[in-house]
Amino acid sequence: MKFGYTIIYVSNVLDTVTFYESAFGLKRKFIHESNLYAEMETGETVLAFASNESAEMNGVAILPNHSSSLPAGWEVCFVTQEVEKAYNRAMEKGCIPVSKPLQKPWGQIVSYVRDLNGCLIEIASPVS
Amino acid sequence: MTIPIDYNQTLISPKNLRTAEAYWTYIATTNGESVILPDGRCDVIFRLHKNYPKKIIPVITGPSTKAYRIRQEVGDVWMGIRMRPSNGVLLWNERLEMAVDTVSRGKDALRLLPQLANIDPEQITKKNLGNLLSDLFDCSTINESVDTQNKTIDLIHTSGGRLTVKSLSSLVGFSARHLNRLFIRSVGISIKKYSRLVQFHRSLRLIQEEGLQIAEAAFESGYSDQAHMTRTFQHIGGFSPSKIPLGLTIPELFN
Repeated sequence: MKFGYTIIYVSNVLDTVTFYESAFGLKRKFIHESNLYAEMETGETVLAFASNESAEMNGVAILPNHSSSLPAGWEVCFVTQEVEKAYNRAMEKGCIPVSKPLQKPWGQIVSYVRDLNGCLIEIASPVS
Repeated sequence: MTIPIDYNQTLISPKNLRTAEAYWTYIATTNGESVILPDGRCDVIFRLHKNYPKKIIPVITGPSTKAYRIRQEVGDVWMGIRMRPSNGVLLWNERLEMAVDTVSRGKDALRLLPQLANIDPEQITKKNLGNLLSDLFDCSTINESVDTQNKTIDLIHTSGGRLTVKSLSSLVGFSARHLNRLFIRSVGISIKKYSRLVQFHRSLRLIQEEGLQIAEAAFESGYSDQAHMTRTFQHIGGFSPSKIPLGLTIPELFN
């Protein structure tokens, strides 16, 4: 078994794809014609978005993500050499600030934002 | 008129454009009784008895919260549309709340929706049933509060009926009291009652279709324990989780 996908349930798949393109510089891989599912170009492990209503069709029940709620207890982390630049771009494009880039004692630069759906996103430098 | 045997339904999509949620047909293949599960929605139904094919009885149901039984003979036909939950008010207007778990038949149904009399039974096919019936409604009375209700209903379905009224109201952006009042006005039943129905249907599905044990289904669908789930099953469906009637049709309720 291998780790294939991280799938985030969102209220609007198209808006989320567009947001991730502009705020985090990702590219879309494909959007299903129903607009209920989309995948981003993230290499071997796919970051995908599915609409909240498809949760019900899959027989699962979830706590919907929302910017006004406490974020769910997990995060997606994007790694870049230019954390400050990536963080500023995310802020400009509408992310919710959580913590600004800070250098950790082990040398890594780490920042946190929340995306349009309120999901927790870490933007950090590689661990040296 | 050709209608597939047994229960058959078509969901109407995209959902934003629809007054009704699904149109469905049912032809009895056994004599006796059928259990109709409640789904909090109103239906407009045509009932045809096998022995009197020319005589069609119109039926309009209020929002259902309890299972009921119908008598049937092989060959009896029901054809209907299931309204979106938030559009129950189009049928019943200010009488919606009083219509919960009631059924209007024949003349009473025609009084509620006189346009039903214009439908020629000979013209009904499975294909045009949806159009025939959804043309009946005056959609101009749908106001913006319906959008809020649909958003609330989506959240209830996504969470399997497990969100509190308070959490729902903060997600939608109204006070709990106001949201519930709007909800009752267009759906006919409270948010809590509707959520219980969604939770019931999900747990039933987990047992019937996903193959979970009763205790596993109780846990996954958010009942505090198995006894809680059993009480809810008795109350809503009239049967316990270990005695689900054979041949039960579970409607697909994807809002």
